Amino acid sequence: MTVRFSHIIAIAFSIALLVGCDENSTSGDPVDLPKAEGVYVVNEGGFGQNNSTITHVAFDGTATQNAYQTKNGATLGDTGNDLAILGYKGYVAVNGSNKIEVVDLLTFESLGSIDLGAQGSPREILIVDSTEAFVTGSFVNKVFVISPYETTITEEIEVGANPEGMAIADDKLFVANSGFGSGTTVTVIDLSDYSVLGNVEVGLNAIDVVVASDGSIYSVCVGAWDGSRDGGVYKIDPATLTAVDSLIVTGNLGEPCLVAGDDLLATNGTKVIKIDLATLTVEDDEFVAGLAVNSLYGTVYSIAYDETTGEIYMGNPKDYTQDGEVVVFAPDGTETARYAAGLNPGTIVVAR
Amino acid sequence: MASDNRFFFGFLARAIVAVALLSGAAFSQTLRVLDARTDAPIPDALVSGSSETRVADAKGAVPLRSFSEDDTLIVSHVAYRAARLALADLSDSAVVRLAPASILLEVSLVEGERTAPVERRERFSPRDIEVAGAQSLGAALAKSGALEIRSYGGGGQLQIARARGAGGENTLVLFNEARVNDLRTGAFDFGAYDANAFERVEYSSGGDLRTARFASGGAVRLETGNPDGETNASAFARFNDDEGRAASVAYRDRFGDYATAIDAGYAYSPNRYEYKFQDERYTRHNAHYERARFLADATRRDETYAANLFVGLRSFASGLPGYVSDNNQRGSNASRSDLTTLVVSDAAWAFAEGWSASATGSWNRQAATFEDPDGTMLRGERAAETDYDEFALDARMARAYEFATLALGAEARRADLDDRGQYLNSAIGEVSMSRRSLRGYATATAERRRPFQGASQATAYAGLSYEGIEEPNYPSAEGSEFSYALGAAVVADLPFDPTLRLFHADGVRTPTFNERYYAAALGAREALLSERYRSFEAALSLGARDDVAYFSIAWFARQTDDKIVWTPTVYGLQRPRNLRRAATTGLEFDATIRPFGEFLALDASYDYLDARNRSALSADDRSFDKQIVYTPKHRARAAATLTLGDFGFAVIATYASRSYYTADNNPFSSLDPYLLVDAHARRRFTLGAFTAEATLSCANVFDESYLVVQSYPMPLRTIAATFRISYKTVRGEQ
Repeated sequence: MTVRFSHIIAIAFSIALLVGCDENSTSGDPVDLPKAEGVYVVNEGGFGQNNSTITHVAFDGTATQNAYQTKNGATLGDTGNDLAILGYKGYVAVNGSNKIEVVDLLTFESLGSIDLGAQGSPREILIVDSTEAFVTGSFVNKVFVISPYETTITEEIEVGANPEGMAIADDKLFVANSGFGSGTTVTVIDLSDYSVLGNVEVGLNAIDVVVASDGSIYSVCVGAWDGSRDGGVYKIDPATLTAVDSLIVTGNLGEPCLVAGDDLLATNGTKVIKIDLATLTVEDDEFVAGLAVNSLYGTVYSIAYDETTGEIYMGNPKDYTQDGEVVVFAPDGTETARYAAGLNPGTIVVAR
Repeated sequence: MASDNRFFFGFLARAIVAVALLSGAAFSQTLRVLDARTDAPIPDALVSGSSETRVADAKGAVPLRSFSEDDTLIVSHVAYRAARLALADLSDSAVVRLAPASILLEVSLVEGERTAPVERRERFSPRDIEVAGAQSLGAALAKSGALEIRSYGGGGQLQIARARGAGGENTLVLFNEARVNDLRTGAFDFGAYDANAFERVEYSSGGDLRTARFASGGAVRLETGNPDGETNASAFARFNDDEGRAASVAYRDRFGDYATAIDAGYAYSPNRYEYKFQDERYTRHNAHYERARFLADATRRDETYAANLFVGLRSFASGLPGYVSDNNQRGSNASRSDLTTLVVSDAAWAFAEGWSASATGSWNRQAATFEDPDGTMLRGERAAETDYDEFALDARMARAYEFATLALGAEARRADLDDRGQYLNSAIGEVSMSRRSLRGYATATAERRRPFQGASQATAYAGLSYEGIEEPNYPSAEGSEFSYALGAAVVADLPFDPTLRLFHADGVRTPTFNERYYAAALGAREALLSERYRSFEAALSLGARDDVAYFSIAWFARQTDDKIVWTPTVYGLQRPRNLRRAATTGLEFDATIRPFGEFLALDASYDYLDARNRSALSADDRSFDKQIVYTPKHRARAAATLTLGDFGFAVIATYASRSYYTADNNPFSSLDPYLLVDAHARRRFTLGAFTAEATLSCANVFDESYLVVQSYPMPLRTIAATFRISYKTVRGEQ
């Protein structure tokens, strides 16, 4: 028996048609990827101790500790500083290990990593889409542009000393340069060509940049650690690249801060305060008392906001040398739940 | 079961009889060196024959087996007139009594060398240290039972001595009687000196009792010089398989009333060693070191006057490799370079019968430079310099009575830190710091021979200290502190000289410069408090270390209020805080058996340490009642030393149990237990006054990977060959 080439083509075409006739799909529709769900906590561990972990808290309250090492055997790395989520993938900035670890947040399996090179020291990640994300390198004074999909570095941008938090507004990237306590600028980068447009002078120890619901841009400044100079919130005009308004806050506005609606929630010493960004006034000087989160020292290590429920999650590091907790508060500031976490829960991300 | 018991007790009885017989035989071959006026033993007396010199133990005993029968022995001690004896004329239970050399030295003897110390004391001879083939003093002391050496990497990296669960800042380090704890960190770097730079190293559990400086971690005394007026010259070389090299020369001589000692050494190592991390093998980079030393002592001594001048210069350069957690594949390229100058001047004068005055002055200067091309360790800076100067003057007067000595002293001290003293941990800003202190102290020691029925000797000690401190940078922290200690020892008039010791101290530790600085710089609104501790120690010992059998058991307890601990804050910077209360209890067992004389020596020690946080900040505080971080509960050491003529072989095993680096003792954040085994083989050659010795050492024989996750991994198996040649004469005096 001989088989003609035209028969083979016909059989192959028929198989392709059969495979394509899935009853649940229609030709041309995108296929939904699975999405991460729950509360993800990156526990920093101790600096230099290579004991960062991931805690996952499902919305039914089930907490899973040390999920990454349980799945992969190896440790996550040293001093996990941030987590950004894209679909079902988590991108963890592992500061001490100079890498971005890519994790399947459904199984916690490692999907690889992005090596940032000597002293890359990733501090925070801001993902735009699967082709573009920004990472601050706190020791190398750079912003790395990475491709999350290809897990490669595509660009490196020189910024000020010890960059920390970032935000995007007005087609620009705003990068807070903390100088580890001595920085007073926010570097502004044009997203079209990654050129540096200039530096905005703000307060001492600029640690983050946030964008309010109306698109206004604010820099959060900690002030001097020894209390000799207060921190505050500085409003930035993206057109003139100047600080046009400010609110000085006595004490040290903390690194953990976020915008919930039109309010800024930020730690300040041993309490969490609420600032109305529209009026730049302190709306509640003690929205949550630190001791309500952390009965040992009153310090709050991280804050997250659930846009769906309005709940606020806060990381409790206890005394920084023992496993911490995640404490959940209702929008009115009353505690609703408390979950065990790992050592120094420094990043909380709520994914729905 | 009954027959089992009979067998056991029969065996026990035979064993006791055998040990008693063996000990009796050993004692019969021992020379006792005693004070001619009081019959007190003279520890450290030298007994020199034609080819060998031995040192008397705490009971003044020296085994004679190793001397030739036709030897003429010279028995000497710095505080006594020497005596010459023909070994053939000695009986089995020979005793030699030395006359004190002067009124002054009699006072020194009564004050300084108690025959039955009231605290735990351990001595390490240069020979103990050198035979270890270790690359540093810290590495050699790590093989001792008394001290725990916390190493931050192999070779020339930082090594800090700890004892009984107290940190390095709580362990007083005296270098030729000058305190050399760096006030920046409070610690002394035992990795910065070669193992053979010192004549003697001694550990005392209570601190420096002579000047009433008490310390919860005890005191380590480092001594150089030529205290026994020897004339000798030696050269030493060491070759390690990691390309490490070391060489040193030493010369000691005496001219009339003058004794001198000069020592110079150099060591280098690329220190590029392998370690294991998460089951992978890595190579440790940028941990290289290079160190050089020049130490000179000059002493003048006559009947009523003694003076000593010591000048030490040391340079030390090393890489700062960074952390293991980034696998060191792209660790730091930073380096440090230190130049240390230490000058110590002592003088003592006996100005009347029983009266003496003495003074010690010291200047300790440390100039350090850091270079960090990547700006990693210095947090953005590329270079930093820091100078540290400390001046101290201690003056005291003593009155010796027949059974007791009373002393009053005063100490003035000034320490200045210029510019960037807080390197590595921060670049928060430039800072200069200083501290001035004035301290007064008094001590009383009493000793009685046969104080009561059944006791052959008793010693009592009391000391108190009052110190005022001025800190211009932190006026609110200024104040005064009071400390005291009491101790007693009784030797029973029984075989094996059972000795009971009791010691109590109530002491204080002022925060270091770093602790003061970081507490304030990182947001602490209240001044850091001084640590205050109360310690108790009780010990029972049988025999002496050179006897056929020695056994000691010690119990101690310590409560520390306002213990200073470092806890992380933002950026990984750590901030010191006061922990309201910590409690430590421990048991220390120590045993030596020499069943066949010099042929075989078996040493074993075991330390149990229960060090817990006893203060809970709230009901959620899971660190309450947990073991203090980096403190293993169990440590053990066993050593077997075989000597056969000019050949020697030794095996030393050390064990440390699991320790934690989180306060809640989470097993995930812990350091695994480890067992290290070292082996040494030695061959000695003698030709007239020349002695040559070659040693082959293997450290970490079984390639144990340890202390890795702490970020400072230690080397795997390392082999070292050492060679020493010495020329020696001993000049005795009749």
